[in-house]
Amino acid sequence: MNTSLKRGISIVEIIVAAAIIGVSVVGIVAAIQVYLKVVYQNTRETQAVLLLDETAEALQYMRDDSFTTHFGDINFTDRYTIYWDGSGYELSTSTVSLPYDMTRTVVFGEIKRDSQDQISTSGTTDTGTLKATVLIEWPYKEEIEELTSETLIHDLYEN
Amino acid sequence: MTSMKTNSPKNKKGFTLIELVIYVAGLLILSSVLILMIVQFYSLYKEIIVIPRSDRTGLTLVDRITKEIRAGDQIDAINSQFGTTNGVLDFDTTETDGTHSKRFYVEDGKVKYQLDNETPVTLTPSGLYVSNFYFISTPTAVSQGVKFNLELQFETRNGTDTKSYTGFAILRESYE
Repeated sequence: MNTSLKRGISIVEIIVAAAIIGVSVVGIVAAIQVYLKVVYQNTRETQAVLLLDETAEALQYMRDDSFTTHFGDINFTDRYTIYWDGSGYELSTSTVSLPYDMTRTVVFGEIKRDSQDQISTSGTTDTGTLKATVLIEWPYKEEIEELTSETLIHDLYEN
Repeated sequence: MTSMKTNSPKNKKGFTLIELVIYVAGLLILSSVLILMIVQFYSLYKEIIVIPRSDRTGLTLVDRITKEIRAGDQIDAINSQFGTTNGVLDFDTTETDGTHSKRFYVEDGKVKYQLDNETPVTLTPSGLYVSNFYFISTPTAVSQGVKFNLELQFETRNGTDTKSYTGFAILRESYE
């Protein structure tokens, strides 16, 4: 700085400095918000994957326990959920609350087989197999996020 | 005011009043924004740091234990403790090099994992206290499953908070 003419900081310099600091603060805040959103969404997604996993395992448990008892009077138009009754998993059509307002829905569909016993869109209905579509949903701000998976349950043990 | 900067050699002697007012106003706005930010982040500390940490630990453990149970072939009913607070899960897994005994339990508020007679490994970090680790055996006529529930306790600004994580798995080698 030229000492003979100017000492200290001029108002323009202060305004410029303040503007730079202001812009960086806004930038940092925006970056932190993005980070928080990513962390939150990531955790929910991991949780949803584990819920899908647990649901598939629970359906398998119900099949092992008794296919007829658990899936005998399934209605294809109903939306089910699974719940832990203290000693085993059960299906229910009422809402079961999960952490972070997540919801789990299971919808069953029938399986048809062709003359070669292969799964197809038409043919005879296989009463010993069900298609289960599991949907995990959770709210995030104004939107609903979701993850879905499909699994087949077969009356393997004829129980 | 004008005597503030007498060492200025020429016409310019320090700041004018208007410059000072602008400067102070600017400083006020900037510092209040900063203070607001700090207060906000401090109150969000729980949401930003503590809960995600608990979630990460809880979900990783659920994933890990589910996979271990799935690889198992039978429950060791003598060494396992089902249906009790801070229970024990002891089961056998057959791998290419023979049968191994695996054990999950709680000691001093931490989840421990022991393979055969090796030194137990701690699976939960410091700052998280395991207030309950609960196992339920779910045998069916053809298979063996295990339901587990893990409760993690942690300190927040408003006191102690607890979150629970649950999982279920069937021992794949338990099928007849």
